[in-house]
Amino acid sequence: MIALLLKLNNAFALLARFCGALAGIALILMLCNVFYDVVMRYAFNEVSIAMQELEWHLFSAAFLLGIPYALLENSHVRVDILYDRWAPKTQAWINLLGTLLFILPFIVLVTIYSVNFAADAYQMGEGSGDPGGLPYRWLVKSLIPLSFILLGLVSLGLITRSLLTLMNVQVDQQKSNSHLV
Amino acid sequence: MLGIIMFVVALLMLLLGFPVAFTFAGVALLFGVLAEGFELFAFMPYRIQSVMENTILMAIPLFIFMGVVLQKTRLAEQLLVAMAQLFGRVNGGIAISTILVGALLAASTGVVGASVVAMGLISLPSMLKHHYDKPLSCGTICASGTLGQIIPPSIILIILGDVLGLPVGELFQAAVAPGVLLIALYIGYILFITARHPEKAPALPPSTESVAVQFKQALIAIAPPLALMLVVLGSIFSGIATPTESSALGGIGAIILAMSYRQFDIAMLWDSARETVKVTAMVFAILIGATAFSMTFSYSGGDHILEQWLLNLPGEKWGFLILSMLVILVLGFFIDFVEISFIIIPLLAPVAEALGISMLWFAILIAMNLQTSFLTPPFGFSLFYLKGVAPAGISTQDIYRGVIPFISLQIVVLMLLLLVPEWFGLSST
Repeated sequence: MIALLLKLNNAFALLARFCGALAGIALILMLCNVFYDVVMRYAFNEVSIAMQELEWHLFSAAFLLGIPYALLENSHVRVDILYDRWAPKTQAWINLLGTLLFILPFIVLVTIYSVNFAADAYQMGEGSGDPGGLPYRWLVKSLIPLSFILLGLVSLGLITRSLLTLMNVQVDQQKSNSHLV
Repeated sequence: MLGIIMFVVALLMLLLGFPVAFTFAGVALLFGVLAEGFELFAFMPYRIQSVMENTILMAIPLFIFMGVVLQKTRLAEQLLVAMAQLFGRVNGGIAISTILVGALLAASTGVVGASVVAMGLISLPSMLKHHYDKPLSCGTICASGTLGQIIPPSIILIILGDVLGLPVGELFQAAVAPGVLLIALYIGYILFITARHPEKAPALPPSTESVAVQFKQALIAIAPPLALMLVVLGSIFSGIATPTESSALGGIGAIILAMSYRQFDIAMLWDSARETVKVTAMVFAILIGATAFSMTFSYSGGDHILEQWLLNLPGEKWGFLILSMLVILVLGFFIDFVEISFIIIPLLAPVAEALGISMLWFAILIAMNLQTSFLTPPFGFSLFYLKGVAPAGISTQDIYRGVIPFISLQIVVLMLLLLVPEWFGLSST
């Protein structure tokens, strides 16, 4: 049982890091994209609608895929007045119940609606409303259900981690470091 | 009524310590389904899409990235060493140089945690070595590091611009005067203390190097970040670039600066990207949770009840302003500026508008007020960060006692902003 949980736990952690890597790449591409657009506009007076739309496509990927990554990195900010003083097992219970009651129902509901949202865009062949804009709007819209499905899977990792803590198995907890802003 | 109950439940649930973003989302779901049924959440994808297409918010990850890269370049360390040498000869010199470096970091990066940590590691040991008063040293570092919140470019001003529907460039400009006054007051306070109690911040023994050499070293250290600051803020203030465009210039500029300091490599770029993604994800998860929450809140009629109540406060405009400033101040003890901005401010904004309050003024008041949330014991982030890196001889008491004068100065500026906005080039209506 514990062996299985550990395996699952590692798998979810790996998935979270994979999301993080994709988000990181999107972020760097977005930086280059925005910089390129600024330079082209001011130095060469050239504006590409497609390149400008690509900016927010990459931005969306960066934060939507970053959310599942941040979950297992423990970067989502908590009100830690009481939390920090509680025993690891109490914390594990909170994470377990929080995932089951707060994260998963929300994810299921938003995933269902956002799958339809993206599917509609696909069926209508929706593209950019502007001439020279990017086609295939369903692709970027699919990022929403994708992000939520990945968050759902990764949140199972929070469950395995909590269960392991409750069974007295040591799992490496990432210390929260999100207060950088 | 349901909306008000939901609000109270959400605040209580937050105390459990589950991530704020998902607590809000979960509570919103529970109450939303009760009040309106599942269909209410069919709006969520549209709401998320409007965040995705929001080019103003795009500046947030880019400014965070710029800050993280500069932090990894060890910019703060170089500045602190050079400036402390230059100012060391006068009483309170290290404290003054810490404030100036804090201001410079704030104007180029604005990443509070990073600034406090860097100064805690460099300035604090140096101040203690030269027999500075412990609370004074700690207070100076926390307050200087927190300057990033009010001095542009700052994440909070971008968020407030989005939430209150104000141009971010204008907000940045309006924040300059109060920010500069705050810096001046901090330095004035150090001068005042050292005049009365020179033993609290004694001057350094004369150094072997000549003033000219020290001046040159300080100039070399200060020039690159100053240039970066001029590019970023200059391009926004002159109207050449939007804040988002200038954040990209800042990001690339930070990489160039890191290269020139020979601190840049692919591993560093990758680490910076990952750290940026984590902080960005934290901010936007709260935004999505807050969206679900506000949606349910307004469908249940909660915002209407709250609005009516706030509009009928005694003293009208002043009653509302004082109450909202107090609420933000008190909430700042427990939750941080991201939640306050995304959850509380949207509720206050329509009332402020209905009462004829200038939104720009209101935004600057909020931004100044939120500074205190970083410094108020026991949960201010700056205190927490300094405690994390402070040497063993520093007690939590030293830090708490040290920030009190600086919080008072922040409240003085807040009061001035409230009473005489015209001093800061602002108008109350």
